[in-house]
Amino acid sequence: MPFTRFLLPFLALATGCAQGSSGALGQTDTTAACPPSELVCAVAGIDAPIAKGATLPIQVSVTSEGAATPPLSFVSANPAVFKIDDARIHALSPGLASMLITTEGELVVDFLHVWVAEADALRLHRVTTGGLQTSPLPAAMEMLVGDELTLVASPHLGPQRLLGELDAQFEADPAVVLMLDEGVAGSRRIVAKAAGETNVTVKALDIEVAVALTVLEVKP
Amino acid sequence: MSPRAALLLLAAAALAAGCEPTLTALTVAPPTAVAECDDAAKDVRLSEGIALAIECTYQGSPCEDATMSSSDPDVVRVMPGFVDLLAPGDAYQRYPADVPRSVFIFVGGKPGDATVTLTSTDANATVDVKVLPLP
Repeated sequence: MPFTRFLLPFLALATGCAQGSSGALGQTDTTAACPPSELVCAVAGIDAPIAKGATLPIQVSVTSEGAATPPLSFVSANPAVFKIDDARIHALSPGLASMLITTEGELVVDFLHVWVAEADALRLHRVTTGGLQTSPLPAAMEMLVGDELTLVASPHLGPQRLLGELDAQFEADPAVVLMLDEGVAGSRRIVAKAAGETNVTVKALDIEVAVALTVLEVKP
Repeated sequence: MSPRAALLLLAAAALAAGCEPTLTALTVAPPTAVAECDDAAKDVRLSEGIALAIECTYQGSPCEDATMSSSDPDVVRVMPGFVDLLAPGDAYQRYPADVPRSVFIFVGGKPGDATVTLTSTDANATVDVKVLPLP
């Protein structure tokens, strides 16, 4: 069993009630909408600016005692900075604005201040079977024929990793690797196909990043 | 001015002061932004795109049947708020009340000046709002 899978239940206990970003009025928690397997994402909240040009699906729950979550709507206080469609924040320009959480009758139950920042770097991360992402990949890696590697591109500003899903384009030599689009934004599953060398190049937000892959073949 | 006239004036001033609702900010501004409520001057300073929750009380109780309207919703939009979701005794130390608290959310729009008119069964007031550009 991979170590990360073993770790997940303990991580859930350790995080306790720290579930996402609390609203200014303390009545809601906001997190990025994540698959249940990605526990780190699910408890992290909106803990960084959203990258300009990226989209962040969100999930908001009411934290009150004695009341389930009522029907909610999300409103941007400055649509020039970000807009919200279908529970997704679309980051449009660098800045700061409040996201209002309203229920029927435009009654505000909470709000959250959200930053949008312009990324200055794009980094590649490996997605493990437990869904956790390691630190950024090195510039070069080796694989054996048949090995698989799932990569995700993430925007950064200085030392801070920004939030948001990217519309990224992946390129590599199809004779060496196969790149499968599994429907996860900014991510590809890479399968080593034949011995050789290729650069996996990723473009998003007008930034390009690459990792050099060497695929080796074990000969009997 | 005679002592009697001064006393009457003082009493009138005290009565007049008692007719004013109290406006209290419930939230703070994020870094680099402004979100302030000056109850004495009845004015609000707010950055564009930033929300500020303000509670209205009258003699210690929630303002009754209070409504607020903005003279220019492009500059400042005012929306009703609801802050009674949490049970009393939580970290925010909210007090139990027989009636819902009277809270409004001021949302800064484009930079400029506007006025917000408060009407309630208890008292009315006019709040001057200045919306500032973000740095």
